Amino acid sequence: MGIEIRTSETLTTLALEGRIVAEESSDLRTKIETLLRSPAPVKVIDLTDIAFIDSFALGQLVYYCNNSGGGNGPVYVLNCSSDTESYIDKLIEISELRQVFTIVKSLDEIGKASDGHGG
Amino acid sequence: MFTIPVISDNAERATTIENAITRGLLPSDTAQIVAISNFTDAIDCLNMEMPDLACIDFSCVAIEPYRILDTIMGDPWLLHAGIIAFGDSREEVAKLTEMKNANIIDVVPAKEIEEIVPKIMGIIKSNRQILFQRVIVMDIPSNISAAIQLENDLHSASCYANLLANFLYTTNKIDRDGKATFSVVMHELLTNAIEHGNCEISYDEKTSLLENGGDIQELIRKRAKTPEISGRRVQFEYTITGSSSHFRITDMGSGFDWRAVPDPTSEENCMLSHGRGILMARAFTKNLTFNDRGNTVSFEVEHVVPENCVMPGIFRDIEPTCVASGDVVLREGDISDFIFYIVNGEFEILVGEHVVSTLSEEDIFLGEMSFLLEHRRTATITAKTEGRLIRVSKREFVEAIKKKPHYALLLARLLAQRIERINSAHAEQ
Repeated sequence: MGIEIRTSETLTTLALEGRIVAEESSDLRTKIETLLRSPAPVKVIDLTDIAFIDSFALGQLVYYCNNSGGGNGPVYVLNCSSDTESYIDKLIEISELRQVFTIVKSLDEIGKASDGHGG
Repeated sequence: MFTIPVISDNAERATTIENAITRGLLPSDTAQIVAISNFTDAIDCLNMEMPDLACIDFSCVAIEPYRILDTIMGDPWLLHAGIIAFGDSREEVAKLTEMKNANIIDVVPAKEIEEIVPKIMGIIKSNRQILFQRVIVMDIPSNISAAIQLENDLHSASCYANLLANFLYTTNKIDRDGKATFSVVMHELLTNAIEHGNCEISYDEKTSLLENGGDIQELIRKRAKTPEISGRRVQFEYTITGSSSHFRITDMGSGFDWRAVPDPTSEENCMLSHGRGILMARAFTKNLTFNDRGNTVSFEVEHVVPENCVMPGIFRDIEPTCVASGDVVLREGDISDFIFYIVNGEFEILVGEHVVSTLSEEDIFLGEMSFLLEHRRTATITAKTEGRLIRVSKREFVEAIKKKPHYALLLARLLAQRIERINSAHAEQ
């Protein structure tokens, strides 16, 4: 399981790689909290390189990102995969993650998505 | 007898691994553990022995473990069941765990070898019917079934899921995406059976745990040690047929009301912290059902037409030929200067007008006898169903064997198996 926080002035990214499972849920929770506390105006969870994510870890992403008070801006989910049949695309569709997160295919889309949200 | 290479240049580590493997096997298991301490010997062993299982110590830089892994990933036929990987540091273990397409069954931290390896060997042993000796798999024309009992241990469940995913992938039952989704399904449903089933962790308990930053693994470990739960096991059964695989997972808990699980995709439930496991499993499988009590779940995985699947590395660049039902593939009396690799389909062998045998992708090759003996074709072969074949000329085959000698060994084993089958049939008459 690879969980990494990458920070710049305008962007903080929680990059997830490989198998994201309950076994290391405390590490994931800590990193989600770091992401949410970040002062950067744009916060992104990058799911492009996950091999698979289990329901517990997915639940953590949903719960913490939507119960953080919402005062620090939206969290975007980035999925750069160009294959619309990829595992991550299927997962987003099946789990209806679009109801919970704004899904973007590239960082360029975030500006457009923000406009769409009135932000 | 099967061979397990232990590839490490750390003699002490290699001995620990060998001892742990031996502890996980029965005295009657005829495994030959081969200690290998350099890259060249490792590749030679993989090419010549074509082992079903290999142990690779990724902390030994001198053996070039990632180059060995690249070689295996370049041709998955080199290694059928998979790799048990060993790493020293947390980073090393994490790096290996993250590798999406490697044929890794389990990643074992060095300090946990003695605890984990015997468990892995126990799981492998219970599934030897399908996992050892690829040629045996090819020789079984009917369904393959097995049943196993798992302890309440998420690590074992994960190892088991990887092992079966590797098997279905390397035998062309599922493609690369199918391997990922199958691993997710197995992980979710085995975890459910351990967590909610045997350990009786309720939906509300898990919600509270997740929302308060608790450790689900720790809770399971604690529960699994209690006297009323320690004896419980998860029963896992499967049947692999030609077109699909069927699975059933039963726990020994009191069951759960699967009808009452909130739909996490509905507007009012979409923010719930969990409950997506069954949703994922249902979406990635076919006919997923629970029994009334809610302690048994059954599901099917459809096999794909193996166009995106594992194919012998040496034939990947040759375009397959499509055949329709009834097409004559080889004709008796023709010159035999090529062989067919069977991608999919069923083919009838006719001597005169009599069908003497039917071959499919499990038999791998068509027309190998006369090809090797340089005879004219001794039988006519027609397509019983639609199918795809890769035509390999004698020159291409010889060139391939020069590069990858294990294909010659595979062909020899295949022929030996067929002769054995014919001898057995004669003996029974």
